Amino acid sequence: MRILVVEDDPKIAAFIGRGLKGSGFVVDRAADGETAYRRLLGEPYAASVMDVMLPKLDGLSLIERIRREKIGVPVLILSAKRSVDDRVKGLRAGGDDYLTKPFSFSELLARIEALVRRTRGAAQGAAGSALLAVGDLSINIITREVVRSGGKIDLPVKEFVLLEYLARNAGRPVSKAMILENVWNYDFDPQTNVVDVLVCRLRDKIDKPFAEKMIQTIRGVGYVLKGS
Amino acid sequence: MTAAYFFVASSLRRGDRAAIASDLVHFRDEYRDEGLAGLKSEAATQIWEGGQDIRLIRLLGAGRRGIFDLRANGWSKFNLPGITPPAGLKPSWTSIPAPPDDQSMEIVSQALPNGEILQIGQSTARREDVLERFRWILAAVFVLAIILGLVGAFLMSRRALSPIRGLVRTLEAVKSGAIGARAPLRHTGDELQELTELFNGMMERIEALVSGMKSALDNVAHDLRTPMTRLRAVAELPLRSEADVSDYREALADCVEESDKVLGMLDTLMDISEAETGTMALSMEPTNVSELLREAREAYRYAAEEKGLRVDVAGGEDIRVLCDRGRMRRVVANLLDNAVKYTDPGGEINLTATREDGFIAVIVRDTGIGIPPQDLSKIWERLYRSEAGRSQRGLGLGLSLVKAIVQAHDGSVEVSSAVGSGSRFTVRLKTVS
Repeated sequence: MRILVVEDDPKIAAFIGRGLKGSGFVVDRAADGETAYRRLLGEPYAASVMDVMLPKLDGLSLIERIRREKIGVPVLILSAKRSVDDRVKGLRAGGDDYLTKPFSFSELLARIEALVRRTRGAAQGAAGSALLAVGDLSINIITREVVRSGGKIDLPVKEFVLLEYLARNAGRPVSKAMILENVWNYDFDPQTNVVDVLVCRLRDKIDKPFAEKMIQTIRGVGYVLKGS
Repeated sequence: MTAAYFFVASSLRRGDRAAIASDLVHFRDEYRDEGLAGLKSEAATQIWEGGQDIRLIRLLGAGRRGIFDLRANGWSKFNLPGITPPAGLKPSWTSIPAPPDDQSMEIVSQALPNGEILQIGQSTARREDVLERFRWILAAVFVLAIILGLVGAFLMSRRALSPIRGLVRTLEAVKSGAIGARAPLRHTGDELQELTELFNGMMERIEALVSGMKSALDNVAHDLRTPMTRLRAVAELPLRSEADVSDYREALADCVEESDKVLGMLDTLMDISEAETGTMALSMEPTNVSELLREAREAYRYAAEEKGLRVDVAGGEDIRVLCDRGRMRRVVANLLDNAVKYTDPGGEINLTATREDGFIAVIVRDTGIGIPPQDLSKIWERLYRSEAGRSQRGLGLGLSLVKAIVQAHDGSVEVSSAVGSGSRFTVRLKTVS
């Protein structure tokens, strides 16, 4: 799958490019709006990561132009502006998702994959079915039943929501900020270690009784649910 | 004034003519009664001794043949121009210029029953004198009036426009940097006073905004130095000597965490600045505040349990209010965060939402360590930490953000606290929009 990274800052572009390549994508880069426009016209991309501040042609105008040419490539907008108005502007211009800078790579990856999944039609992998399976862990998102190695595990609401989120992103680390937003709808960081404590509780139930620890911490990045 | 002049002039003339007319009658009667001799002697008396300015008395016979002609000194030389004989018995008047003393003379001619014509001439010198003096006085008064008028108009317009001059001067002062300059206010009760008041009000607002922004920038720069210092130190240390991969991993992970903290701080500081300068854009929506309290309790449930604290939300009917839901969520989280941080194990935290007159109140009460009285006013300051709180995690921005958000809603927040027994924070939001 091919992704076009449109970013004029070389360090950030390299960072994104390398990260996406490491996750299995083929990456093309463009450092200004005009080049990006030509590339998007010339080739079909699975998705594009686009900064709004670009030389020659800014991000939002670029999106408007390609939409007029009926190019439906999903676009993840990157911007330093975080107000609701700016988000809305970006989505109205034709963008599909919006990520503010600075961002954690985990979040960028999760959003790109969600965009790619969308265009390939839902019902792929974990997105459509009622059952999420990771390693010997199985989660029924409708009945809220959790089973590991054949044994049923009872989980209070928040632990379940966290587990579901980790499972949907199985194998990919999710940052603390992503967890705060998806589990509690908090777009800020409460200074008390709310997330750490919840992960700890979840581990008690999911990992403690078992030899293999599925929930892992990657310092500086986040938490990941890994099956073997 | 011109009207007055003409009125005076014509009155004087009428007066004079009346006088001569009566003289004429007097001479006619004299002639009739005493004959020519009587007329001559009377004429002489009048011309030489009378005080009437009579200069000429003449009697003409048939065919204009002069019978008698008596004139005052200096008047004998000139020739009387032809004078129209009076028609009928009514006297006729003529004015002629008389060279001797540059005056004019009024001559009245009367036809007598026997066909002779009697004429009397009177100098208008005296009258002219008076009128001339009168003309000078009028001119002087006229000029004076004009001068006074101009000066008066000039002063009045200066006075009327002085508020505008005041505004112009103030604006010039502001342009050269004196942002505290205000236009002088004069209570004239008119639109200019209103304009001045509005202008000064606008300058107040501009000054508040500008100094708010200046100090916000100063604060941000200052507040960021500590975490940036930490970040730098953490990154630099492993580079100073040979370290193994796990050390580098540690250091890099620390850097990411510290960076996130800096970003969080930056965002919070910008939020505080926005709220303080009144530029925070709130997205107001009807919010179930009681639900917000329950959500917060959920989020902090485990942190509280770990510390052996009990957190409960008061029951009763759900309280709703118009507010920015995301930001109020943050306010509640910050207050609860503090309560959990500063309450010792075994303590209790109560979250309540109540309805008051015109407000709703959100109360976070704890049985924690409390705040010493001398610190009570300082807790709202950015990065403020009391002695007890110094070792705690966090940025010290929580309460200043709470205050900023509540003020952006035009609400209020207050605290009451006692060392050893706990604290009670009350946020009030208006219910009438």
